[in-house]
Amino acid sequence: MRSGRLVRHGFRDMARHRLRTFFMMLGTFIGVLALTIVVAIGQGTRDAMVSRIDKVFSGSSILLSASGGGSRGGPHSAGPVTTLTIDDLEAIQSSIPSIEVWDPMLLAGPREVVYRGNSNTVRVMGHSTHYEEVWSRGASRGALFGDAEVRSSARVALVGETVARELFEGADPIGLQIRIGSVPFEVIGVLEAIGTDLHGWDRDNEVVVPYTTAMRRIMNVDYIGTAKLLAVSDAEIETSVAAIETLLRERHALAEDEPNDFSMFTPVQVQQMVGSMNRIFTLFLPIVAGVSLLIGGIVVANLMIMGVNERRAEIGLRKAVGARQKDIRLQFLLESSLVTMVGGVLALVVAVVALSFVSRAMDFENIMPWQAAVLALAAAVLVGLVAGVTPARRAAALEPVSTLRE
Amino acid sequence: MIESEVRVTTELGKIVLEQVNKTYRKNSDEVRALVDVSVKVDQGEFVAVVGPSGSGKSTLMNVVGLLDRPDSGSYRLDGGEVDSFLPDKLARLRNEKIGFVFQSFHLLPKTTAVENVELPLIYCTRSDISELGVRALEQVGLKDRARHLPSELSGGEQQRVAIARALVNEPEIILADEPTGNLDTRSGLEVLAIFQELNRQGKTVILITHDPGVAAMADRVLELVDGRIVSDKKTESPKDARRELEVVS
Repeated sequence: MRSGRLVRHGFRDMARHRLRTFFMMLGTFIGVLALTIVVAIGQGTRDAMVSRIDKVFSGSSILLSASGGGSRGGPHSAGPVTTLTIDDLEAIQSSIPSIEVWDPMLLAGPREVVYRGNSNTVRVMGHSTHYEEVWSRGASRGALFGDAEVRSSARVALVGETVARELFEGADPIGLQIRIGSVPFEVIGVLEAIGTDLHGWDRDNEVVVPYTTAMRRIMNVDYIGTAKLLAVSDAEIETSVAAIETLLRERHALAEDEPNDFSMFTPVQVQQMVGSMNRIFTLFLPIVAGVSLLIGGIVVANLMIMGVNERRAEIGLRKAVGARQKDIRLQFLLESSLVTMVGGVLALVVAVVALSFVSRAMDFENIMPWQAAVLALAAAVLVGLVAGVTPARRAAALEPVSTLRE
Repeated sequence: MIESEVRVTTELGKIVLEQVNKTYRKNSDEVRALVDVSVKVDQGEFVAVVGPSGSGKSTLMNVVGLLDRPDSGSYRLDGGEVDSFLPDKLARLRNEKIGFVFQSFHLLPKTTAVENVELPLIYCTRSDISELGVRALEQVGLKDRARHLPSELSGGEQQRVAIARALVNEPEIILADEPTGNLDTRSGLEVLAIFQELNRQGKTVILITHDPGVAAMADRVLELVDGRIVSDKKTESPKDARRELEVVS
C-alpha cells in the first residue's frame, strides 16, 4: 500500500523535473546506444568478411605463393621471387593425385587500358582456362578463353563491369579492340560482377587475359607469383600441403637449412583467422560495455549527488512530515534505476532504427545484437542502482533541522 | 510500577519537558541553545514562544517536533519517553501526531496544491486517504485552488496550503515556526485565524514568533532568553485574529 504510493509519487516527481531526468537519462542512453551500435557494426563487418572469404576461398583450396622466406621471419629478398613456375604446377598435379586442378594468377599490375580516346588504369591479370572452376567466376556476357588461346598466347581479353561501363560508355564491348599498354587485344567477354574485395579493390575494374599472354606479351617473365590449387576433398588438404612442400623443395633444390621460397595458405588458416577475430570481439565487447556504462554511471551519480544538494530542503521537509530513512533511500534509488532503465530502453529503440539504416548503407545483414543489447541494459540498470546508492544514503542521512532553516 | 502506569494515563496528549539541555558546536564555539528547560503543554493549549533570535526558540520546536534529540533531560510525549524511540518510530510520530508549518512554506515546486497537501499521506500507513487532501484544503479555504501550482499562489495562500499539509493526517499538535514572518499583515492575520480555529477544535498549537502582536493571539506565552525560559504567562484575554482582520479591512 505505502510502497505503491511511494513508487507512484516517485514517477510523478520525475515527470515534473523533466530537464533533470532528461540529463540523467542521457548518460546511459549514449552508453547503451554506443555499445549496441559498435557491437552490431563489428559483428556485421566480421560476418561480411567471413562470408566473402568463404566465397573466394572455401572448401578444399590451397593458395600457393612465391615468397622469399618472409613467412618464416627471414629477410625479404630484394626483387621478386622467380623460382615458382608453371612447370612446378604441372609437376604438382602429375605427382600428387589429391590435387585436382590449378590456376595461376599473374598480377600484371595496374596498366593503362585504352579504347579509342578513353583510357583507364586497370588491374590486369593472367589466368588459365580453369579460371571459372577455381575462382567461381565466369563470364556474364561473351565467353572465357579456351586452350587454343592459352597455347597461342592469344591477344584476347575479358573485362570487368567497371571497365565495360567506363571505357566503352555503354557500347557492347564484345568484339571491340582495346590496347593494354601498347599491345592490342580483342574483348571476348565481360566478367561477372563481384564488387569490392577485402582489400578495398574494385574487382570489377579488372581485365583478365590468358596467363601465357600476360607472361610473354605484357610482363615478359617466365615465373608466376601465385596459384590456386583445388584438392579432391577437405580431408586431403593437409597431406597435399605436405606433399607440395616436399616436392617444391626438391624441385627448387633447397638445402636442409634453407627456408621455403614459397608459402601456402589454406582454409584451416582462414578458420584460425576467423577464430582470432572472434576472440578479439569477445574480449573487446565487455571492455567497451564496461567503459560506456561506467561513464553513464558516473553521470547519473554526479547528477544525483547534485540533486541531493539541491533538494536538501525538500528532503528535510519529507522527513519532517514522516518519511523514514528507508523511504528517502527508496525514492532516490527508484529514481536512479528507473532513469537508467528508461534511458537504456530508449537507446535500444533508437539502435534498432539506426541499425536498419547503417546495415543498408554498409551493405551487410541487419543484425540487432540482442544479447549484447540486453546485457547492456541490465548493466545500465545495475549501474544506476549502484550510482544511486551513495546519493540515496546521503539524502537519507540528512538532518532535517539544518535543511529546513535555509 | 503502578505509579508509572498512572502517569501514563494522566499524561495522555501532553508534552512534558524536564531539565532539557541542548548544545550546538559551531566551529569552536559552543552554543547552549536550551538550558535546563522544563515545561508542560496540555492537549488543546495555544502557546506562543517568543524571544530574540538565537534564544533557542527553534531548537525547542525541533526537540518538541521530534526532529532533534535533547543532549540531556527527558521529553515525554503522550507519556512515552521519546529518547527510547528508534528513528522509524519518531518518523511515524511526526507523520501521525505532529504537523509542521515553516516560515518559508517549503512547498514542492511544480507540484499542485492538493499534491503538496497529500505529501504526508505518502508516508502514512492508513488507506482511507482519497478525500483527505481536498478536505484539508477546504479547512483553510483553498478548495478552489487545489489544482494550482505554488508559483500561481500568493504568499498567504502558499502558507495556507502548507497549513493544510500540516493538517492532512489529522495530528494532535501543530508546530509553527514564524509562520507569518514572510507575510503581509492581512495574510498573517488570516493564517493566525486558522490557527485559532484549529485550537478551538482541540488541537495543540505551538507557535514561534518574535512579534508581540502575534504572541497576543495565544493563550499562553513562553519567553526564552539565551536558552532559558524567563517567563511563562497565561494571557487573560487573547486577541481574536478574525476580529483583527475585520478591523484591518
